[in-house]
Amino acid sequence: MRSFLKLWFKSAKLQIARRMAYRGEYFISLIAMFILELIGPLLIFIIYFNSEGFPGWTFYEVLLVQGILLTVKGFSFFSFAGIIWNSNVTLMRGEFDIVLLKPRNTLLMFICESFDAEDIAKFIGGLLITTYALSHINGITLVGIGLMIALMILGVGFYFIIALLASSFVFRFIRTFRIYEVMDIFELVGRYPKSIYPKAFGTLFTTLIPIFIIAVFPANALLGRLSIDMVFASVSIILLIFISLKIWFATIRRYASAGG
Amino acid sequence: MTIIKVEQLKKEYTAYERGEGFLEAVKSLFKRRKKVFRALKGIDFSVKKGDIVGFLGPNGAGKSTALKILSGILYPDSGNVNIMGFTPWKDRKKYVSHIGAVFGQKSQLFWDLPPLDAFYFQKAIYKINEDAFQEQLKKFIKMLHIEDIIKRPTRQLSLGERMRCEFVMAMLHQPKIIFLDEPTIGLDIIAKGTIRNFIREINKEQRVTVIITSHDLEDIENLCNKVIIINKGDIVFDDKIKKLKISRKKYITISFYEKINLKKLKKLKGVRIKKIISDYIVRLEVNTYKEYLDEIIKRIRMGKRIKDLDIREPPIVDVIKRIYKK
Amino acid sequence: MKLNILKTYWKESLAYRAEYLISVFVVPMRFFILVFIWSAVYGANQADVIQGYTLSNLITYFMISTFVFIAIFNDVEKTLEKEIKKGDFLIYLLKPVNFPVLEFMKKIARRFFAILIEILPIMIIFILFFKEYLVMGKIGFFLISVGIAFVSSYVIYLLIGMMAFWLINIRSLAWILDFAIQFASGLFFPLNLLPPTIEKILSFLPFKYLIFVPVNMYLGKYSTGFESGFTNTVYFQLLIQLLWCFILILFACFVWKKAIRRFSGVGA
Repeated sequence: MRSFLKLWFKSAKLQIARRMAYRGEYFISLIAMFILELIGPLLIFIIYFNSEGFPGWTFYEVLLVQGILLTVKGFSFFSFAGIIWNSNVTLMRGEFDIVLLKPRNTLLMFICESFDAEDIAKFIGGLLITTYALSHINGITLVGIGLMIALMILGVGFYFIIALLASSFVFRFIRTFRIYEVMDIFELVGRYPKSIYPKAFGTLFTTLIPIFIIAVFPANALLGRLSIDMVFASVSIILLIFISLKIWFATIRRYASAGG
Repeated sequence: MTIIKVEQLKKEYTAYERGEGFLEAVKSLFKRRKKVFRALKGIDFSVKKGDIVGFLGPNGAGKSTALKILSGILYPDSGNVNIMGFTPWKDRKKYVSHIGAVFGQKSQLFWDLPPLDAFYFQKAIYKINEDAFQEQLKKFIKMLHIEDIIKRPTRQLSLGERMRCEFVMAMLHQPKIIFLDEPTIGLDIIAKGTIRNFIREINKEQRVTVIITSHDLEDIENLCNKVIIINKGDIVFDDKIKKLKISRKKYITISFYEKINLKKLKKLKGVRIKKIISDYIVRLEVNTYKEYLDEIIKRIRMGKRIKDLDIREPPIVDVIKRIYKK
Repeated sequence: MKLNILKTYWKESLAYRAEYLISVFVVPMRFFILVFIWSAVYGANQADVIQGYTLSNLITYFMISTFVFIAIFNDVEKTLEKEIKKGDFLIYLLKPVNFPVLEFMKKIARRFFAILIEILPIMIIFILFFKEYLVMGKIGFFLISVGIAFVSSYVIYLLIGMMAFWLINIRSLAWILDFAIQFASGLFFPLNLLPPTIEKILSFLPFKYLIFVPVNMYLGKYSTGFESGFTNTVYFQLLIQLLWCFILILFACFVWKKAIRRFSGVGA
């Protein structure tokens, strides 16, 4: 694991150095990455500007949900979710062989080579929105913060599952960048309080597809609204990580048998 | 000492066909036609330590498939492979740290960064220790004359320069075997020479076993002591290079300022007309076995001025046809 | 010749069957969530009307705006950038074809296809699931407006693409502009939900005529008579839309000439 982290940092440094060769362009794309994420907070603003919003949630509380989501998403995207993009690119160039040629765990090696220097902007933007929202919320406790971070880490786990499944899909079926649009759907669900969904959907998104763990549950934990749902979702995340790892490796194995 | 042993290696691919035309495209939405392609039909061979073995064969004969299986990145359907005690596809992670590879078409370098950065990344991946790394690097820089090249962004390098750096990437961790898939493809004569010298040297000095596929006959002739020829998934020749009767035929396309006298040309010994392209241009097959090339050309031109001249090796398919006849 | 271009693009589009399935899946899903959100908002506030929109009005707005988006938006800026970067653009200067016109033909073929295979299935899904929310609207003026919007949108994205004649890499910049245009055109929500000052600023720009105005035409927000003043009529809106379209075309012609001169001068 330590040697993996070392390699990951090395790759991160190289990728950033690569982008720094065209500094101006890199800077603009960082800004673009952040601006494109503003649609979520914008919609919340529109809703609260024109109405009382969601029952039981203030504007800043829902904004906190947006901030947490972007933080979790940003972290996932720059650190490992680049494998989705990279699956498309390596398959197009037929260069996955080079990954298999390295004396490392295939997944870890692939993650190292997929570091995304642009999505750091999402992560930083997420932290900014989160901090801004937190500064307008009263009665924050240390325990609340701790629980929030713990659930956010599990939220990163959710993105890990999605990244593995999306990558597997690309390897198994067809190269497509539109897989991101499917991911956006999950994300869109996770942006809003559980109470707005019909009961069946609410249950589905806490157990089988625990989307609420990427933002709504961490925000709830910080606000002291603990529920048993969080436990269900956490257990589900851990199980799903195991399953999606199995699927990914099976897919790669199948790919290596088909010879590309 | 045997370093590679291959028994009854088989591999089939399944491909899906899509027909031409609009209707076919619509059909492919619902149903795809399956096609099975037998890339390897159960081949056996072995390689001794320190050998340079050439895999020869036309495109699609199965040589790249064999190479991929041997380097651990492709699962075969059946058969055994034992390389230094490993089964490549089963012990992939451990096994690949002992081998190196250069795939002519696939780069291990980073497009926007200098090769030196890629070398350091390779060092981290293979956990090479600092001293060994510096020693190897210094040696290769000297051997391949790449002191300045490795500090320039890869995208600015010529194909030959890049290929030399690919070899460094493949050799930094001191592999025992190195697999080369079309390492000289697209290179000019000088670059080919540098690469061939390098291969010879690492083979001699470090006793590295080299497996090389190429459809360039000269690569094989210049480097290998053993040749394996694969055609349509079967091994059709597996012996020392001396046993291979390499064709001394050449294809010459010659263009004159004046009209060609075909009658006279037809009567020349050791010259066969392959194709009359125009009154001025003709493609010939000549045999350089008994006569030097310049003398043959002298006879062909019959005192006339040559406008243009193109000399080529006959395609590998012709060489294989000759093996079949024996 | 034109038929051939059409045929080629039909075939090309069919090759992406997974992509197609994804878009037929994604759009209704996104819509489901929108319905949940706004139902919750209207329900919690016990409001029937927000800024002149009933819940069904708003849901219909989102549906029609999605259709207009699929029908009019294009990626000509990416095509142009790619051609310039690869150096293939030179070919267009040697051939007796005009890049903007040729691309326009191709885009029409593509959009035609998109309408057939994307909008129709999505429409069926919408009608099956959200029947109670949907309002039948005024199709005639709406279709005219969408037609004009198609041309305007093409010209706007062509202008963005033309930046590639001056800048080396416009990818990120184009993203930001694309996002800004989608926002300013009213794709994400009706523009009158914005704070009045921002809405005012946006009303001076051509973008709201891409989506916001056509969709409101469908919803019958503009009158066909002159009782409530000329500026509130369908005719006035169409006139302004047409005017913007001409201004954009003229501007694009002007920039295109400069761009060609620059391109030939640099000899890239």
